[in-house]
Amino acid sequence: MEKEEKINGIISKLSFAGKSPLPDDELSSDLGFDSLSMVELLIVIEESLNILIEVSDLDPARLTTVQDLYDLMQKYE
Amino acid sequence: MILCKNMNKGKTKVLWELLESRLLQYPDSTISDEINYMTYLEIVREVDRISKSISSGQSGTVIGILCNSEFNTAIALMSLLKAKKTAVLLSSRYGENHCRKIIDFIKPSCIITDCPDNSILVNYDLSIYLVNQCRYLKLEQYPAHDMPKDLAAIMCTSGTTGTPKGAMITESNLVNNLLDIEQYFNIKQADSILIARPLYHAAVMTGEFLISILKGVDIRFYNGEFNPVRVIEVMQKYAITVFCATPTLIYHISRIVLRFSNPLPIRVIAVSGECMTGIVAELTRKAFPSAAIYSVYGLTEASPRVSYLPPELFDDHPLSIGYPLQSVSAKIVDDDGNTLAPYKDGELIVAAPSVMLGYYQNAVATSQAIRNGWLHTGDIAYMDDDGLIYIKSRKDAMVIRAGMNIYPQEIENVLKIESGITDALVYGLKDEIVGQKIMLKLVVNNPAISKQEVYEICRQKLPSYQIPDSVEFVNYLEKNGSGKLVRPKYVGAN
Repeated sequence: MEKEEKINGIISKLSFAGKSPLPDDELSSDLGFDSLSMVELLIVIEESLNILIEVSDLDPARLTTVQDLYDLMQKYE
Repeated sequence: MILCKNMNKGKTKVLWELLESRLLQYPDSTISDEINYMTYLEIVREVDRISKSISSGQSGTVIGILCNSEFNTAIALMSLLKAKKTAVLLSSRYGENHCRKIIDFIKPSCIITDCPDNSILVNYDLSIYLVNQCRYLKLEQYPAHDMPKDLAAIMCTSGTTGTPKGAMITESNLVNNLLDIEQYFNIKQADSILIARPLYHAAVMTGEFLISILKGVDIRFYNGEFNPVRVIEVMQKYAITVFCATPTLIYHISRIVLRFSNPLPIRVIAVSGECMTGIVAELTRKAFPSAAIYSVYGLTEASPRVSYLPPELFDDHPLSIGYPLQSVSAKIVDDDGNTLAPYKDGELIVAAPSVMLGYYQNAVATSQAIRNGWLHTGDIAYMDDDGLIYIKSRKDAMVIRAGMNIYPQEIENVLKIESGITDALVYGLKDEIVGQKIMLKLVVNNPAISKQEVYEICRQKLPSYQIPDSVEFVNYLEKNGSGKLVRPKYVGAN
């Protein structure tokens, strides 16, 4: 839960839309991330959570919703 | 300071003859993407077939190219060059409105496409030519546009009013620019280049695609949105050795490459489209320790290449755009046109046989851009004692983000007509990664309007490359005595 809150905080900070994200929000259409800013988002999350995300998981094409991001981060403890 | 070279000594060789001679010189080199694959020899035959087929219908002389695949765009472009038609390159990557604006402005008589169902084409009464089937889907009879004979392409850029500006580029412009680039750009037949941006950009059409043909390089197109992980996968899979991109894209690629234990076999990198920053230069060098890195500069109006930094100078002068090309003369001038001494900031102006004829149907903009034979770039720059040029900022309000030219007025005009918004200011904020970020300040008369709603408006009304990075609601915007917005001073990369 704490991890998700951190992720939400980062999304709010980086997203133009500036809103608190919901799990079903789409990263591109609802929150304004394109493929480059999605990679940026992942790297900021990586630094914030002090983890090392595998290169294949940095592929923004694998992420559609905020829930996808939560699920991905479950892999990294 | 002035650097004057072979002014007005342009070569006039026909572009297609030059390309065809090189295609035949390297018959086994290839052009491909995820679906298509052809050798240079097969390309010559295909271009011959399509150019004859296009010419068989009286479909006019100014022809748009709107393909999903850059491979097909390339085939269509070469076919139009051979058929002596004028190409208008389009790209749906920047949104439908962006494309429609160009079609409405240039009014091509025919569109070559590989996607006849494209919704952009539905409302136009134009001839449609299917490039991958080598036939007209629809043929309207059109009188020929009254155009200069060797007009190869009209390359569209953004304009302050929302109407595009169409730079008229001749075959001779392109030949001269290519022969200049050929002299310094050390790529060869054994190389493979990955082209990951649309040919719609002059820097990509000339500086990546056409020059690669001249050198016999294997060309691989990457279609779709730029995704650094996928781009790197393609680089690895196809043993790519040459890559050209903006500093923003190189930054994202480099960050991921540094996670690998084995370096990519990239031998040559060319960076252009926005000011290089120290952070990006350092990271690029770290990720590609043995690559020859060319920092190059140009603008659509010069077909586009104007200068290049020799790769051996990159580590010592990473923020310089180098020296003018062989047939380009460049000087830095003040507002009265006086040439300035080294290290003095002024506007960079250039004269070269690659400078466009002018803007399509826009004599006013042409006379502002080309004065006494000199193209005014709008870039504020200085030269050092050795003649190396450094770009510092823009003379106008134009913002460059991730290599895309963005005119604030164009965005402001779109937003100001929305209900609830009474005034808007868009400006660039220096950013070490993307060059500049687009900032938006809004005055609203409806306090309930949220950032989310503003974002929705931007998403619906603006092409993706124009969507601001952040929005701030303010009570008023500062204006001068004549009621014009006071724009924050742009700060460049140096």
